Amino acid sequence: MVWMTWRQHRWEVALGLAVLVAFGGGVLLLTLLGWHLMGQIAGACPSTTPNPAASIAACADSTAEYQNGFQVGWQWVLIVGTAIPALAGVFVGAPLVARELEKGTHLVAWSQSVPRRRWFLARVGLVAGGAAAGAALLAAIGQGWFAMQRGTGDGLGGPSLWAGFEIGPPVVIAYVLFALALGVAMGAAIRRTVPAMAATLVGFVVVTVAVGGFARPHYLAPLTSRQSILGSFSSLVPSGSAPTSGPGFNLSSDWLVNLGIGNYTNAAGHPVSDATVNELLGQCNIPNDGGATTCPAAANGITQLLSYQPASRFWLFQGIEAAIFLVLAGALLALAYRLVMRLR
Amino acid sequence: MTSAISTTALAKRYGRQWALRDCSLEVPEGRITALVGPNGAGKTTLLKLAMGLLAPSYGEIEVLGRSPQREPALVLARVGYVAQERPLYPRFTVSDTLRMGREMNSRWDDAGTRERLVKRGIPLDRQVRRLSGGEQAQLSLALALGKRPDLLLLDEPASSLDPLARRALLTELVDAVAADGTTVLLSSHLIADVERVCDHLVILSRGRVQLAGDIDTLREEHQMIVGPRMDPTAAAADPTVVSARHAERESALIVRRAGGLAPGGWRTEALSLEDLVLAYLENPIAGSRVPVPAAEVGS
Repeated sequence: MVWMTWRQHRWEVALGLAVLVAFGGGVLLLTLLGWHLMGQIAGACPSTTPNPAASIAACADSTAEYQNGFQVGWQWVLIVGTAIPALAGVFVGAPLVARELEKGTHLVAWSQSVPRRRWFLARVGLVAGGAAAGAALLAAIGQGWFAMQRGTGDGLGGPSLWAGFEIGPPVVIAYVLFALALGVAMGAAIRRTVPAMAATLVGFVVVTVAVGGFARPHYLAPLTSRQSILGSFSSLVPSGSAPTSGPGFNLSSDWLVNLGIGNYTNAAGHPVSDATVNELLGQCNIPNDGGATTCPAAANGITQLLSYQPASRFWLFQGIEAAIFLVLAGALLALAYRLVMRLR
Repeated sequence: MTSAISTTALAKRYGRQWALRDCSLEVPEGRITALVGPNGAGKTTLLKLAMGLLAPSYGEIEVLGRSPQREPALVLARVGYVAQERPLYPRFTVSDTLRMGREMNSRWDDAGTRERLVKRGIPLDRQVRRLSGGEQAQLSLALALGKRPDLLLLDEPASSLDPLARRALLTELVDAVAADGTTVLLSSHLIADVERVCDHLVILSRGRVQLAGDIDTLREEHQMIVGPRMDPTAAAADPTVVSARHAERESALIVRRAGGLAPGGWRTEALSLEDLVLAYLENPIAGSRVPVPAAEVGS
């Protein structure tokens, strides 16, 4: 079965490696671009504070350029990093059983001396092993990118661990195995290749979005913190004079689950209405020359309730999410096995 | 004589449609048995049941003394099968296909299979999809023979082949199984092929066994007799009459009477195997009406 599985999947192995190499190359290219922009920032921004007013604008420009580029790059890496598991499900998982049934070749495979049970377990097992190895490579590329960004992005909004949650190693491997199992199960249920591929893609997107959006923030109850509403202006102030963290909360490493809009209190602890807050913030003066933002005195001391997951929970959450998807993958493979054994 | 396949009250139903119904038959060991019947008679279903590719809805099937459902490993290792559409992996080369046979069968006959294909002029490095229909049929048969089966199940092995390719395939089959005494069950609706290759016959129609027996014995037992026109209802009432055709002045009957002589005033005419088979197929009730002695089934 080893040779047979290799013979039937060798092009997928080659294609998968090509995709990973291309992804790694793209990541490397983005990193080099990032370093180039970093050099510009270093040239434009004097290292000592306070900055001479003349250089502040140039410094802000190159910083903004870096941050924009960084945003685009980061999104690109995340999108591709999560698309690759979906591709594994669609192009490797879905056809695995469906194409045999569609072309009638299952009659050849199942009339050799290898019983159907062993045919299924060996083939799925070997393909899953290969896919997990590919996923590990994908995770390594993601982590490499991540480390390079963190190393260079300090003080410029370098990503928190949470920003790369979907390409964290345990989660990426679990995603790939889940996508593969989903594809195999859809193929065994639908018995036609193209519809099974479509169902796999839709299923993968729905499940990952639902788990990421609804379940992930609540694996453990989020911690809460009160933060000055003026903190939300911090990104506009290059010198970083406004507070970016309330007690216990650190924007650069924690995952802000909910900003708690509408839950405002003033310095005395009394509730403040949304309308009041909006009015006060509307009166803030944000100078175009990069100078400090000034807001009405009444805005000082107003805080909002925010909930967040601390950086210390990152690996626990990775483990929880990976476990969820591995359990789903196992259930789907059990379903696929039953369907294949029942096909008569 | 022992049976390679034995079924009792075997039935397979798809929804409300019966593909096979109350089928009890024996396929004798060491013989080449033809499974004959019109399209939709249940031939493919019976072969798939024997291979464990289908599970029976009712009844029992034993293949080489084992259940294909409960002991698939033991049955699969000893039974070769070629499905009706002769599926193969189109992007595999001939060599790849043989490698698959070697990897997936413990008793694989590598040298013999290679020799068989080379003898037929089939290039080993060619992709299967570039082979002609006849070559693909040869490769399918070679794959089934390569596992050195004790029983070979062939579903319409020569269908859709041109006459030359058909002859070549059947010759190959007879040569291959003669040496090892392999039991063969092949389905066909081509009586000419059956006559050339087979020595035992099972007629299946509408999911039921109409007739089963050695071809030589069946030919001895059946006669075509022609005589003065008789009352059609009397002919229909006679349990030994398989089929009757009444012209203006003459009646032609196909009758089953072991060693019987034509009655006075009647003459015997040559009865081809095709006439015999068609008599049962055109007249499906005949089979169930003629009581076949139990000892005769599969003898």
